[in-house]
Amino acid sequence: MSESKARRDRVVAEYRRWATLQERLEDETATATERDEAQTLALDNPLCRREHDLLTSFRQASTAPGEAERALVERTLERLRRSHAVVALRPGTAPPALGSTSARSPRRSWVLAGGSFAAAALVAYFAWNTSEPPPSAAPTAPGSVSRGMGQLALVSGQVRVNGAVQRLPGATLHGGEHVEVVFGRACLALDRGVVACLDAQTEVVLQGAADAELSVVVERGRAVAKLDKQPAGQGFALVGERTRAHATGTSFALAKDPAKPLRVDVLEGTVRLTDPSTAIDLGAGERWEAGVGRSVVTRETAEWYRALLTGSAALNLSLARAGSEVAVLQVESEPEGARVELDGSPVGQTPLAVLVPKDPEGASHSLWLGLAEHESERRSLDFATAGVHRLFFELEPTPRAVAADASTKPATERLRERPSADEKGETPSEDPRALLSEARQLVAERRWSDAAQSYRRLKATFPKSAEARTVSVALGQLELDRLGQPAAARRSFQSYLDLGGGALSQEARYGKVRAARALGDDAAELAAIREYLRAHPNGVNAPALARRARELGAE
Amino acid sequence: MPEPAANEPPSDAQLRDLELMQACSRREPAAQREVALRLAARVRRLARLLLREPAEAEDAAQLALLEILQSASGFRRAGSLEAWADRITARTTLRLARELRARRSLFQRMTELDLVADAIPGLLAKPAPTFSIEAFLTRLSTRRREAFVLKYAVGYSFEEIATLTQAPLGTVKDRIAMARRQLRKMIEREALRAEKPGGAS
Repeated sequence: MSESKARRDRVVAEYRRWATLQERLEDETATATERDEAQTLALDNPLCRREHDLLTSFRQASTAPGEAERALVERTLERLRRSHAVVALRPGTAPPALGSTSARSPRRSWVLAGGSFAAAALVAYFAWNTSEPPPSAAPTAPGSVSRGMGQLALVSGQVRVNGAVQRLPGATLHGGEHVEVVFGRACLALDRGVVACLDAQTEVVLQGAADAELSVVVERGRAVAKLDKQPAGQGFALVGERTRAHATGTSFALAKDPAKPLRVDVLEGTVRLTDPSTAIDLGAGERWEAGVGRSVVTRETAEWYRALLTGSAALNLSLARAGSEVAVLQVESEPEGARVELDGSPVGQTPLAVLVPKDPEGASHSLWLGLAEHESERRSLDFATAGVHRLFFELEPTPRAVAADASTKPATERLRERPSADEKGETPSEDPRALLSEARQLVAERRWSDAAQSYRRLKATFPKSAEARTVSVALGQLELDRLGQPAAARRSFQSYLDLGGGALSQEARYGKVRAARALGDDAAELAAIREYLRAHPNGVNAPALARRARELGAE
Repeated sequence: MPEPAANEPPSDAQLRDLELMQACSRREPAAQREVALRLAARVRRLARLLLREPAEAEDAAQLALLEILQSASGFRRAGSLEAWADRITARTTLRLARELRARRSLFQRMTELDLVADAIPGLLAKPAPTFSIEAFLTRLSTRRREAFVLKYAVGYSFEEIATLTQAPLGTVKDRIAMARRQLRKMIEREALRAEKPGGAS
């Protein structure tokens, strides 16, 4: 064997050994000796250094735009200009306001109006008040099916029309078109003041003509509709299998769930049910189930349908005046699922996008977002311009709320109820890996306080385990970034280093810097930066920390 | 990934960025152009790293840049504008990737590079004597590639990647570990070729 081949084989063997050690370190199962061995190999072995260099060069860095980037910018700005263009309603569709035909105020404003339905939330909507006479619900001309029978007015989650994902409302809906809500919900604003909202996992097909009955055929899932008094000879129906539920002005729902009989629930007014053999009338609060017959709509069911319809009335605005301009309010958040209220009225959950009327006077509206265990956010906006009004919120977790709420959570109860090994006066029987796994699961569930408690328990119960040492860094990061406890975080990072450090030493030292900054302790921050730079002169954060050290007065 | 503590006073640069983004949210064209030019290379690079198809990556970059400009009012001073833009880019690009995957036929999905390459060793073209990390990415499966990029290009934690990619934490760790193993194999092969006569030095 030649000398060079022997050398090459040794380098590759060392690299493989280092890779194995690295995996053990990342898996937090390495011993102290193995950590030291890995560090030595990382410095000496050229392949280890090659890997390090490749990964370092890979990190995101800002660079000046080239030709391709400039072209991208121009395309984007052009698209942005187009998105601000006016969205106009198609003329000829002028349904009356949803749920109410009350007199309109002489001043244009947004008001929360209540319908005749039991809960105001159901009919919470924004009425487009105007000094001009309200538009009449004139029948649309024959053939209007081809030009559309309504619009997609609210999108929350993933909604498809004829298979195409719709991220924004406003799409014109035609007879024969297929609408599917994969998750979230959607509301359709159909001609003649019909609003139909679809639950998640619902598929419908639209049918109808402007001078006859409009209908939504529910292929699966649940749909709830609310409609104003319809012209004679016209109406609206929800259809499931061979059953048609007709209404001329009411609120009702049809559900076609797997393994359950077809159901029709009447929330308000009267609905006529027909199938090839029967015709019956159902009144408010009545339920009909295929093969079962009549029963009563439970309060929970009624509330559930109310929630599905809630906020759908916002879309009503867009139809209040034929040809009026509308805007799109698009609200997204991280995390998703936040409750959205506009001027105190629920609209839905993020992500959502809903049509709203353009308001040339630019009246200010208040948008509120709330999500459990996160700080709520409020923002003012107006709809003086048409186009898309897009808002994105990054909701911050509220550690205190999490901690206060923690006692109600089963996992937390389990954690608290379970005595520690010391309390039990016996040798710990739990596996540190099990505790570590539990803590990681809590982190994945964003239950920061519980996770920190679990990490601390691991450290207290198995202080000499490899897991206890390595979780110090994770605990410090939790305390610093999620729980707002920089002093505790500094102790956690230091405890890792005091125990000899390891693969996470760089993170621990950087954590000490950040903790000192959070505490406003400039001297400690400078000392921590110097410690970091001494130990990791080529560390990822070294350039930024060197700059920061100069800001703090270091030479 | 590490961010400055929320209670520290804003630096001048952070204040400038905040003003810039506020101007963006008021739809001031000059501010929008400045932000777009500043972030374009970064956004485009991340989109190209995350997506295999250059055309799809260009679409994703445009969507991401658009989203950054339209979400300007959501920018807060905590953290840098670049980190904020990275997060939006990653989220937008991954969302597009999911939509594209959903549209692809079963056949297309079955013939994705990762499945085929795993099943037929040696199918892929041999790498150059020395390789870049971008060349390595072309040999990764779609999901391993996403996880690897988010981990090593953007610096996200496993938990953040799990959230962004909508995958279980364990799966994310596994994807990244497998990608690292692939990378190490490529480094070994590179070293072996370098030793051979005619190989790169």
